[in-house]
Amino acid sequence: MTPPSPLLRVENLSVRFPIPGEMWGAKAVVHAVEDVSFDLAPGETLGIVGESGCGKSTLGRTVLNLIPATLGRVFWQGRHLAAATAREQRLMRREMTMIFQDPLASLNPRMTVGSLVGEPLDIFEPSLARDERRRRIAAVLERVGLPPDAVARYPHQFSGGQCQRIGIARALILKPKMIVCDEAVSALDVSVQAQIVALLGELSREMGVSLLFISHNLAVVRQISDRIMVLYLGRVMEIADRQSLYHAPRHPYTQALLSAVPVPDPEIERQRQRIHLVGELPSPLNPPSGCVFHTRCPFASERCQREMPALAAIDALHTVACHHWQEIAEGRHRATT
Amino acid sequence: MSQSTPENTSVPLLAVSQLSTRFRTPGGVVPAVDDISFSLCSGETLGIVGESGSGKSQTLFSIMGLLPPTAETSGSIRFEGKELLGLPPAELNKLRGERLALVFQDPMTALNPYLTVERQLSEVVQYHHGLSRPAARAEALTALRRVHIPEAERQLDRYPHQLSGGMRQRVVIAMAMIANPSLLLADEPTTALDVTIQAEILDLLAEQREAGAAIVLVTHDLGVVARLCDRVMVMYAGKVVEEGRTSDVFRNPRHPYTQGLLAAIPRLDDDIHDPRKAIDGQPPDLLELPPGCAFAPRCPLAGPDCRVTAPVLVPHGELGAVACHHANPGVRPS
Repeated sequence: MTPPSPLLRVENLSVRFPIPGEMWGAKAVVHAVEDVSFDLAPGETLGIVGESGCGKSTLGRTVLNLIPATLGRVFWQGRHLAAATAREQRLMRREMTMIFQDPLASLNPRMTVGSLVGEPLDIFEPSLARDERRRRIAAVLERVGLPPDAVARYPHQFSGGQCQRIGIARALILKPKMIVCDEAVSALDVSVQAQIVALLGELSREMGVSLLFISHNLAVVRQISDRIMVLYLGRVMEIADRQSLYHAPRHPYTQALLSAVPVPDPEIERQRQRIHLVGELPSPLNPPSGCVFHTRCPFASERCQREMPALAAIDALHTVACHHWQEIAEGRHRATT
Repeated sequence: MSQSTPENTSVPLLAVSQLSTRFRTPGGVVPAVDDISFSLCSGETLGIVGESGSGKSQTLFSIMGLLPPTAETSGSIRFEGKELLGLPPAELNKLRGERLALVFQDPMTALNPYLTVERQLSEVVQYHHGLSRPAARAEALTALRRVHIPEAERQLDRYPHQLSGGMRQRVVIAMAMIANPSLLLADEPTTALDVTIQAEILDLLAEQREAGAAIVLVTHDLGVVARLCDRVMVMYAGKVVEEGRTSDVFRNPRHPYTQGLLAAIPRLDDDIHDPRKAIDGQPPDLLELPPGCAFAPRCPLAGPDCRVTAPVLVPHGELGAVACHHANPGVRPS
């Protein structure tokens, strides 16, 4: 009856961490996430990219309500997350889960794979019959490509890629609606990484699970995401559908990021033009005035130092926070891909 | 400032032959590096690629003589005409840092947290060139400027924890290059860094090459190899499975593993690739290597012969070689 509402809606979210000040100084505040808004549709995969310290992991954890929001709101199926009662939050927990970067570290070494994968069932469906529990564990293990005898074995008996499959099985067993994947394939070897990305893509399509796919690897994000959000110093620089972001990036930061990724082809690599970023990443303790990217942007003007650019819509799916995106797009400055 | 060997320029700077490095472990002997040979001339850049356990880093550590006591090394490593294997530690120490230097993956662990940037750098030239403290400070400053560290003078008195990851890696490269070594070994030098910083560090390594240093770069990232390396060597389970000019290997990979790796990497510039092209299975356990070809259990082309006899590296064309019973010259399976 109701119009298709987003599964997840994030409104003007800011997350700040106070840290103890220096001896006589005022208390300092880390601006980890600043004024981030987005929607996630059911079944959609949103890639979140950015370099270290851009706030992508903090954003993922705040969405799961593991870190409280400082400002702004997160809605889960229309329900305000922070205002939910403990009971409601518990129900929400069933529907949103997470896969971590280090597969082995995120699994209790003293639990068998069967009990690790079954643990969410013990918590949320304690009255489940033992046969049914066993059947569900076996089914999910099979689905993620683990052998049936994995049930009785321990995490250390598996390789990194297989441990990540165990992590995925654990995340899937309650049939969640959203999985936050925080650098979920970054620690894996290239050949195994491709297998896990393919598995996550299949699961998302088959089961209609939405993914919030957080990664620093732009090429991996391109494989799996419907839309991509680029963060820099906690702020959204650009959000676009995959085609636009990779073929017509409008933000100078996105362009610089894409131009920095080496392409595995010596001929192309030799001819590529790179956009050089000047200087260093500013501290999130003291973000620059105006556009946070202006200190490193090759196109920055005096206006960029003063005035923070708002996110402007280029089309229905593509928004960018840059005063000069149009001039840059019309000029000869393009990322070469 | 070419640093080629004085006696004979046709002698390679580095000649590794039949190098094997084994580790004794409670579970058995791990053949980390298994009978590999390669050579490198001045100014050349060689990329060694492979996944975890392929032996790529252990090859570097073998050259540097940085192996734990549980390791046994055999074969030969000739550097500037001198055999490194079996060289007394005192002599090896004279070469390390001066003639050959290593850049580690993690700059934070490569730097001493208790020493200022100046002390880290000047130690090298004080030790090798017997410079006085002020002269060494001047050298350290030059070295920092060479790696484009902004406000170099101010950075000299800072400690590693006060620098960003990218700056730290620049300091590590400055340290490696301060005595003008003829060979720079780099173990995943950009893996811990963000892409924009990685791009800068790769430019920096290219500059060291222009200045005459030969580079051996160990990486899992084929994009990095494409950007920087003249030649590439692909390792799997301690062995070289394919080698050749970077452009040849990338355009026409002959080993099914190389083909699989190239197909498995997601790229920015092609169609969204077909995940079914990914290589099945896991890299092997070096304690339980199958007989025959180590890649056979994952290989789409493997036949009965592959499970019995290990293929040897067979040269082809100029500089190329492949170790596969079913290497298909000129054809890239789709």
